[in-house]
Amino acid sequence: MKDKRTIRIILHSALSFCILISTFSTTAALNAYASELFFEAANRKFMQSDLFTISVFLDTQGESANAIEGKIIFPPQLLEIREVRDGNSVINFWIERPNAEQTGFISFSGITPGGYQATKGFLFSVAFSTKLSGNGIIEMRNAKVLLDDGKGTQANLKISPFQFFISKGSPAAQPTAKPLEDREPPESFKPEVSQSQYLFDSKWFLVFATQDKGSGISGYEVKEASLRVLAIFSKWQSAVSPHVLEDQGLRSYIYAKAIDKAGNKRISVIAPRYPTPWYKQPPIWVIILAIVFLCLIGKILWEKSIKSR
Amino acid sequence: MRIDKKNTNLRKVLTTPKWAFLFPIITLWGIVSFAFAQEFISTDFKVLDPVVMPGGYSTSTDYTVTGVITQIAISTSTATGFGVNAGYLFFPFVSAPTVTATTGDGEVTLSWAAVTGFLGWTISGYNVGQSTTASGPYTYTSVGNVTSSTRTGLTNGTPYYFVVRPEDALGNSTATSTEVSATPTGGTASPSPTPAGGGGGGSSGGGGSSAPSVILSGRAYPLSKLIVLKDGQIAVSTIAGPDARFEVSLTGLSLGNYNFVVYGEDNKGIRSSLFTFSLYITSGAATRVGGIFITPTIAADKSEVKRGDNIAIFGQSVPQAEVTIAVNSEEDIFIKTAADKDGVYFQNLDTAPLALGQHSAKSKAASDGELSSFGKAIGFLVGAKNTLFTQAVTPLKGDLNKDSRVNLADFSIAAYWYNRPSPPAVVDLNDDEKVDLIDFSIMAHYWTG
Repeated sequence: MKDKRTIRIILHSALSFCILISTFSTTAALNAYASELFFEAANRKFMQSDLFTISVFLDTQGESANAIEGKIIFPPQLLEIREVRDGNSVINFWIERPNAEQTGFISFSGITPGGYQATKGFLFSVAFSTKLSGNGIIEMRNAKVLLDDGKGTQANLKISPFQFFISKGSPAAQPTAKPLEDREPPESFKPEVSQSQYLFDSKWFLVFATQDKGSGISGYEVKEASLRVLAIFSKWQSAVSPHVLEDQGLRSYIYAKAIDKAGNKRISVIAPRYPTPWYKQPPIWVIILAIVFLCLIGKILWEKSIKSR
Repeated sequence: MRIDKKNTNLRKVLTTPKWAFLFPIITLWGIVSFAFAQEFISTDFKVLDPVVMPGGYSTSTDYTVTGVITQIAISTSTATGFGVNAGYLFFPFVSAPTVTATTGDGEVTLSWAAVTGFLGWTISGYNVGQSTTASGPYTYTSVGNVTSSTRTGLTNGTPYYFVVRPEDALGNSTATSTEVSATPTGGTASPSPTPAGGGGGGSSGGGGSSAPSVILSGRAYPLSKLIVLKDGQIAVSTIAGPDARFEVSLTGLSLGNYNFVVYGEDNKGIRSSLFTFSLYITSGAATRVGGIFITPTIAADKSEVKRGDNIAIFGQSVPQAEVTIAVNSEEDIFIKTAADKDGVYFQNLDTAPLALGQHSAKSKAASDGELSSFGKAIGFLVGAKNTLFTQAVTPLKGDLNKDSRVNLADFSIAAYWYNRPSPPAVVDLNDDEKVDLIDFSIMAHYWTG
């Protein structure tokens, strides 16, 4: 009788344990994915020497995410990057902007201040040209999506790779890259002058960033001028943010230009923090002296002409 | 759920052969109870330490209920003529959508982000409420499980008011969006948006515009600064009216996606939490986002309080708002207080019921049927002495260049140290001796623009 009881207890315990384990497994499966990174393209089947664009999207699955990074891997023997477009991205500031300069991979990382929540948030797109025939996969590795919780908690992530097939032969019509139909300049922006003991040995530097909703930002240029009227004589210099300023006395006007991939431009100007009084500006004296000199010459010439009459 | 291990009655019951099979379950619950802890906590309440007692059998002529110990779950009874309520209830809820309205010719397009259900609340669809009177009554239309809806057949020049209500499969709804208003305009007419001082979370006037624009309206704090970030950078700042209402217009936009962040600064310069939303801007349309309710600010007079002494918790919200302060402790405390005519609220909290250790408090506000989210939490220590709160105790996280803002300059400094060895401690926001994505995520959370 006692043995039967013991067996019953053991059986009950085992059964209960199984139920618990299955319950936890189900719960774990339900919570497995909180965000999803996925690719989207118009087609999966291509010919050799074809062109196609693949876009990368983020589904935050109801969570608010504010930081993302990853590395897109693709077979370089089959594909070649033609262009990366990040215009209209949900990422506001790129730590590592995706670019077309690497072979076989594209690294990226960036943030969205305040967080982002959507089912199909556009990150960027990549235009590829096909090379050899064959099957391949474009996949994402080392990807992280962090939640906007003030702690940088990593969201569980599901990543769906993109499979494609390249057939032998060339497409009927030679593909051409879609022309950029972007006539809008980049968004207006406000560069800022800053200083930190942790950067550039406490030198003053300029920070700038903006977006272009059409083709995306191609680059920035910066120039400094002690006078606005003299700015036309200053040369634009290609720059990346943060940019160390030439005039560490902050007495110059600072011009920052954002250029999009269609060539549209947006210029922002920062007035000097410590403007030099006009009478301390040599160019002003040069102009004044030049005017005085011209007046004198004019007067002499006028007097001569009067006398000659 | 935690089993009261000191409960000798329960132990006695569980060690009898009849209930012995439950013992491993309960023991395992004791070990892994954290797995279900989230099911007992919401932003509004927390179920603390319910003790499960096997009740044995309960019978009547119509039904039988057997004692049961289980995780909270849907169960069945043999009742035929009446309902049976479980001993432990849980209350699924759903977030309220933030609605944007885009005007068109005789139509208004409403869009919103998908809502989030909690504790098993599953979205089944949305109802759009429409009215020509502010605050309703609304005529509701089921639009299915979508995140946008175009209301057509509207009269140009007439202001319309809309709300969106998510529903589950049974037609239950616990949340309704704040009202948003829009005035459809004809294709040829392009009146400029007309800012208005008030309007119950929406605004009067408005309309189409040839250039894309966004009009934001809502409530912050009386005569306080309100900042709007566009894609992470300050786009506009304004001052709210004496009634805490604000309306700002952003022009010069392109077609495409924008991330907007709105936050307020109260009369002491304390910032609210961020109100964030994304918009897709379409051509030739004025997009209105109404009903933005900025969370209350919160502060305390002490960073450490001697247990048993009072700590003052205060902040600012909408005038005459009902403010709920939630104090995090072993047993959460909720205190309701009223804001004065300037929106200021003040509450002395007796710390006697609080355990020694770190605690936090946060607040939310309700006014005119609208409810804000909980704002930022402020931490304080219940200890052996009183230490007055100073700003230096809580420097702004992510402010690397110490200019009291977290913006592109700080981002640039952090980006320089990204994945570099031996970063300065101030740049390493999570103290893991490296600057990686986590530090940027923390910075993005505390972003001020």
